[in-house]
Amino acid sequence: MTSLAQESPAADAPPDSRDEATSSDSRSRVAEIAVSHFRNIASLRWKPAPGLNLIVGDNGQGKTNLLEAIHLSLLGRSFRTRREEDCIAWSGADDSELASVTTQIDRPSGPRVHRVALGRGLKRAFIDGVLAPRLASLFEGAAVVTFTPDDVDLFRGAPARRRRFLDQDLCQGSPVYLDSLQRYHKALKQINAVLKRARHGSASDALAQAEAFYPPLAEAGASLMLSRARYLADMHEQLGPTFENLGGTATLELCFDPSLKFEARGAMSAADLAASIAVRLDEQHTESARQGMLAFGPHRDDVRIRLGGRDLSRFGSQGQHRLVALAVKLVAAELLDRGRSTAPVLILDDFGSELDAERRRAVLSNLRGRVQTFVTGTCAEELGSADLFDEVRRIDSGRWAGDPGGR
Amino acid sequence: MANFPEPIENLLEQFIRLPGIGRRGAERLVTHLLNTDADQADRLAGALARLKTDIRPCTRCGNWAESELCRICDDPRRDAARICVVENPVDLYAFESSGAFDGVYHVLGGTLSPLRGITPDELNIDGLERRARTGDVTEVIIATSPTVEGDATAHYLAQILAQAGVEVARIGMGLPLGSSLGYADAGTLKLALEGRRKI
Repeated sequence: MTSLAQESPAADAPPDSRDEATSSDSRSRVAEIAVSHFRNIASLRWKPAPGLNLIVGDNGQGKTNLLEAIHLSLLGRSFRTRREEDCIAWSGADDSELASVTTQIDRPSGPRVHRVALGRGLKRAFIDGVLAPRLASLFEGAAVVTFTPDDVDLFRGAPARRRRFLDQDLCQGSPVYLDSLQRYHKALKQINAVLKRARHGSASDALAQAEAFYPPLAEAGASLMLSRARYLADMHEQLGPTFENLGGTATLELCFDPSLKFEARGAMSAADLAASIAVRLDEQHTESARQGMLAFGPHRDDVRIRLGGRDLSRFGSQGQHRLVALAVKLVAAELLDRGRSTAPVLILDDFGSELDAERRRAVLSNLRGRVQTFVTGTCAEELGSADLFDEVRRIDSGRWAGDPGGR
Repeated sequence: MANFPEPIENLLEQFIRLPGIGRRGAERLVTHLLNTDADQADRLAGALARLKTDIRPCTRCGNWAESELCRICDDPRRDAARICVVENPVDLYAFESSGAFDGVYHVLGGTLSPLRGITPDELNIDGLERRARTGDVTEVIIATSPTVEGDATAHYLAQILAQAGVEVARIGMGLPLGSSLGYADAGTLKLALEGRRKI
């Protein structure tokens, strides 16, 4: 679709002028969502506003469930659990009933409908009514950045959490990254299978098999590391100003801590980096064999963050960690918005607790006029005031309050 | 659960063991065979019996053969100095039907996969090494799939063959002919860019 539009400039105004004409309406967004048999939501339909949406409700009424349903239909997976079967509201009488979420996404290039259905040990994604060959096909038409209360630990938890954050954002931004990530992990598993066996006393010719997987691993790894370095450099640039807008007081510095030091700027090519990784893999071969798993590689990359010159992983209040994580997520949404034709949707689950009233308001006013955003809270007043939002809905036992039909 | 008569159950069981056939599919095949004339069942039985007695691996390349050597290894017009290494005979026949290659082949029988317990011993690699060392071979072209396992196998072979004094090449990767660039996936486009050449 996009390439056709580019080929025939006469058929369409240039994207820039179109943006001006319709402002935020030209961004892609969730136009309508229909949820059925998903956790405590039996049936629910909604046409959210293009801008800032607030879902309010008491504890356990289904606010997060609705956000989870939106996430599932856009990207094909939950942000809460790996056991997605848990999301199905088994109706007892009829076990064949599946949980399903259907989302219509309006995009500048035309609407697109995602439907994700869950059953016993089964998950299917449909795009415009056609079964998608793989879940990753959903990424072509949607992007999501999510903040959950767990993200408070983004910069003090294990490095795996930060890599997961990087991978999620970069996979959405680039299919090549997703491809490299899958190849990298495949090669890593094969290598570790050999090393683990070799550790239990088999000969050195087994290790030659591990070495055979070093070149594909190095190649995929180089592509991952370069993308991560570039992404974090972009993020660092925007993070300071965004943090300040949210009411952050000290300087915030973000940097990549790669498993292999390299010069990301200038002429460093993927091939050169792959060669350096390959050399390092060879050097570390004995150590890897001793440990029974690959001792070095991008699966050991990390991200460092400093607040006012100090390593945030070692200090910082709960509120500071929350504000930093929020700033990072806002910048992530901004970068995704800039990087591709499909604007991301921003999901902020319970972002406001532990923040003072002033910073809560700062976050909300920062969200105005940006990508489509979904926020949860116990009430609008707690977050500031209802007029900051384009749409406020109350959920009660998995239904819209005051709406017995669920519409 | 009620069973069919024993001969039918027996055949169903054999069909279900085949890849891609479930109980339903097997029942359909058996119904079809019961409804057609006896000739067809005989022809099927005969073809099945001949498959294992008349086909054996080519002693040189591992391709499906009807005698000691497969038809390609036995053909004096083929250029025996160039060997194209493939994963399985189906890939070999894909090259053959293209008519683009007049050398000979070597069938590995799979790719390295320590996870699934496939080691070099499981593959027809010794045979390739022996062929490469005879002195008649000048070039080995490795045409394993562009998967992680295919690439790793290619690197493994390259290491081994480097000592045999032959030229080793990896088959080129890129775009399918005649199709529009817009339909290519990102990974293929990346490979095509990396594999660019001067014109």
